[in-house]
Amino acid sequence: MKISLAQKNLFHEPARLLISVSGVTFAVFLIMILLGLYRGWSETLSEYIHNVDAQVWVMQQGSIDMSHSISLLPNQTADQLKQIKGVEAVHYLIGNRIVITLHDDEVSTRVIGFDTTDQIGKPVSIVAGEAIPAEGEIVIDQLVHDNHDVNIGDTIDLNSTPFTVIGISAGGPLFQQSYIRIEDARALFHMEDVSNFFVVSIAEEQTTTTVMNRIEDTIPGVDAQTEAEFAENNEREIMDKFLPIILVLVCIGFIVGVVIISLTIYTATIEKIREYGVLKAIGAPNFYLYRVVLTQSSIAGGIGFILGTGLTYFGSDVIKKFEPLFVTLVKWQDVVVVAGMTLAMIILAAYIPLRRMIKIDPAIVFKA
Amino acid sequence: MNILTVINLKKVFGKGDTKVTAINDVSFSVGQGEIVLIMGPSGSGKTTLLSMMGGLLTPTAGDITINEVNITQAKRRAVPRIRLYEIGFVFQSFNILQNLTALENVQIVGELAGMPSYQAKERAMELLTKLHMEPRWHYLPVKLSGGQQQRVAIARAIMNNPKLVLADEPTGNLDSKSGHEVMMLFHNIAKADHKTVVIVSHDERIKDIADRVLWIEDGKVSTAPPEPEVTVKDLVCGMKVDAKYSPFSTTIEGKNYTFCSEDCKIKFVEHPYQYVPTLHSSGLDKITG
Repeated sequence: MKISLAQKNLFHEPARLLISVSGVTFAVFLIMILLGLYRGWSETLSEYIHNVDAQVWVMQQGSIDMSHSISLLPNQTADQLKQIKGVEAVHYLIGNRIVITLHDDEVSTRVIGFDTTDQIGKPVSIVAGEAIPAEGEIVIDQLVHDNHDVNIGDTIDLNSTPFTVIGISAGGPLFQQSYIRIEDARALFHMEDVSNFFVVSIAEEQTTTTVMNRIEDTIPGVDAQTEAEFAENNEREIMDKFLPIILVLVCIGFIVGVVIISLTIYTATIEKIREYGVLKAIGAPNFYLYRVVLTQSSIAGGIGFILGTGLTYFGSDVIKKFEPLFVTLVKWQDVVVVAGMTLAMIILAAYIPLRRMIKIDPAIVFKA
Repeated sequence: MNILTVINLKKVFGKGDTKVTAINDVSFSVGQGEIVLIMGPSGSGKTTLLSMMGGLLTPTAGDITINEVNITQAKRRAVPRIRLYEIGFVFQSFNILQNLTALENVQIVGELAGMPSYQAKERAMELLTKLHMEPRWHYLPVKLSGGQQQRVAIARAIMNNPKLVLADEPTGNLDSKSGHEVMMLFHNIAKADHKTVVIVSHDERIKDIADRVLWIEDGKVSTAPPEPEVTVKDLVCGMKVDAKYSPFSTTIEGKNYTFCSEDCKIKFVEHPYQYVPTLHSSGLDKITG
């Protein structure tokens, strides 16, 4: 096997290698965890909407999402919707935020009232207990269960109305979401004659766009959005504010990675400058020397990338145990993006040492 | 057959007032299997000459031919290849790679020359065995003595079977015993392996194995040793001065006085009787120079 001077130099000084690898590992971890958080949050925000089994969301005109705008529509709107050609079924949905007191802690939760008969709008998934509440029953979010020690069988008060916990759900938005019967929601929020949203199922032979146009043309003061549009609007309202911050942090992570590998590879090159001069003097071509530096940078970067990726998968699970809001989702596309960034780190980190190497005068060997 | 031919070689550093001619019109040739020792004082141009012969420094004028290849006219990109195949280098401070073992230090040069790894390893083993380094193949340089490191450097120098070996003060960092052993190795390389060896050194002992000695002084090479230095005392400052080369001298009453600088000369000429009491002020009209 050919002698790899790069490996010999790199592994001969484990402390330097450790610094270099640690720098890349943490840079990769930081970048990947931020991308994972971004993806995790954005997907979590819309997971509930995707889970509602209907094609169109109808809301008050001007309302765009479930969090930042209020939609109130009279219940007769449902009758009007049912008259429109192509509408197969209409379901009521109520969703309001409320502050409840749990063991002296004030907790904000969004309470969803859904029709328990057709079960459209039910929890995304159930961790324990039941999914469909009866009168006076509630399904709470896993975050409420984890953070505030509320368990199945406990009673919690919503606006002085007691509800018995019958299930623990997961998969809602970052802010915890609880589920009750729509009739209980109407009573709780005094919304006997109005609803927040109507979700509409479309007959198979109709196109969604055609039916949406008919809805907006027929019923004044309403907007209709497809499930995908509504989900995107809900994600955008929050994620657009986070994206610039995340991008800045990703840039910082990238720069930290580049700087640490650059410094360690550069100092390693400078320390061995005479040896590289010797190699030049005895006739080693320049590309051989470049390969030594690039290989050193690649080894440090490669190990750092593998460890950083592992740390992301392992670390995010550990962090989530302590901070339930730490919702990350790392997809293979993110791994590819970070691999590309690591490659860029490796090349940039090798650039300065390479420039120094080009300038080595092989006659240095004759200096005692 | 000449392996190394140097013709009208010149190297000038700097321009204008800072111009220094380090090598001035040097010509000589060295045959196959010959050992030539180049001696000269510090700053005489030995290393500059060696650097040019090794293709590490471009001459201002003249030609260097190694094994019938004119390296001064070769393309710049081709010179490293010539060095790799045609020249072996041995340095005063050994310059072996510190993170490679003795064997790897030799093997890597063969690999650089395109030798398959197993073949390079076999040849490196063979050379190190020949140089009595077999028990220390796998030692890192820090575990080797100076003499052993120099043997590794010599093995490295001849790994690719070059025609020419250039050595810069190869015994400079060695004790007497190791120095003699290294000299013997050079002798064997030249006489048994028929390689041309050019050694630049201050070490007088190397004369014993050299076929020829070239003397270099002020950038000029000659076959005759330089005349011994004649020093006289500067009567003004007391320093020793080379009587032959100092440009600051004067003659009073037929006797020549030499100085280290123009300043000392002026002081002397103004009041010569202060420095030579036997002189009389009347002798001043007889000052020349």
